[in-house]
Amino acid sequence: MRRNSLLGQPGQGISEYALILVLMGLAVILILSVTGTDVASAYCKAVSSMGWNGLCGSYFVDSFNNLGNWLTASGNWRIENGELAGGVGEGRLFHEMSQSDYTLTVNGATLKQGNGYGVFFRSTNPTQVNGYSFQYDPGYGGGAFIMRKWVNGNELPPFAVASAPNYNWYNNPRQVQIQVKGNTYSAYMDGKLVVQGSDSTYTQGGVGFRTWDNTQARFDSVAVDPVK
Amino acid sequence: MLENAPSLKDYKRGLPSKPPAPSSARWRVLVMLVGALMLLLAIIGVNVARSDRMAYFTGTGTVTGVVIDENGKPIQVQVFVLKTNIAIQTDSTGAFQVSGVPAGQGSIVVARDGAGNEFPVAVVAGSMTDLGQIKFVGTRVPGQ
Repeated sequence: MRRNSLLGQPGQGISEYALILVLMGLAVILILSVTGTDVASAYCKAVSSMGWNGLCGSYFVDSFNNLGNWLTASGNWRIENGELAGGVGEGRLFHEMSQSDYTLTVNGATLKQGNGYGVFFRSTNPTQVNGYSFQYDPGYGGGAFIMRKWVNGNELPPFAVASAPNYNWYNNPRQVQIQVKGNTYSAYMDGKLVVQGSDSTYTQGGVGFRTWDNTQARFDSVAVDPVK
Repeated sequence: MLENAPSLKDYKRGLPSKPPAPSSARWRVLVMLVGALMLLLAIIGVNVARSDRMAYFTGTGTVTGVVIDENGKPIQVQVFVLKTNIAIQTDSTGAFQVSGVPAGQGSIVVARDGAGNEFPVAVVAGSMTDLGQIKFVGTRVPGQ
């Protein structure tokens, strides 16, 4: 008796089953590409949801024992008491990456003095940076969380602004988390969403830190993970 | 001599299916290979459409303009075309002309002393788009 289903046809060998699996995989990749979903992030999300966390770990982790993972584009960066210390002056520090979507977490981010600090994401070309920065910015309009775009080392006016005039800006270690997903960027302070913005210019790139003017800031550790 | 002959029990469910003709198996493999190739070409096509290389297919145009400061005076600035490597400088009259700009919706950035402004531009392939006078506001204060 002949079976008429594609998978049940008599005489089908292992090579045909393998081809069917390849076709299914290509179809999935095509659907992800059309919808603009980063394939690597989708894969990591899938394996993580099944509890296979070991297969798709962090893209980058640094607890600031030294500056070996970082490129100093400008400014005064150093390690003090196991923390990254930046400032005073205009400073930019980068770690290059090629991923598109990720969650960037900075623990123990503390502003000691000055008008704020920045965290770069999707950044390339460190000496003339192209990318985005989230800024913890008590100096902006009475205090705000903002997101800026950078073009060849030039900063543009913010494309996202969330005023926070009553925020406790100084000498409080904070967790800064930035979710970089598609064209949307969401910044969280201590687990709470503070500002969200969208821009389609840059699709991949690394992370970094920024100081300016009289800023002195400290950062305890940084991790870059697949988007959850 | 007949020890290995099949018994009637072996045919309890009817005669066994005949093996398929070799040509039908080859046909199925060919269809699946063609299907895989088409999917692969579609994936490549989608990624090319999303990349900067698409400009080669959509064509390019020219963008012109004059950059002035907040007082209405022409200034010399850098002009960048986003999502490309195109970068030029305005002349002493603040005028610029940028060729090879990918057709479609895009943006240019005028920048000076570490600060920049972004301006949207719609470029038509083979045509010149004149932005007229564009005002550069470039206060170089990092928090502002």
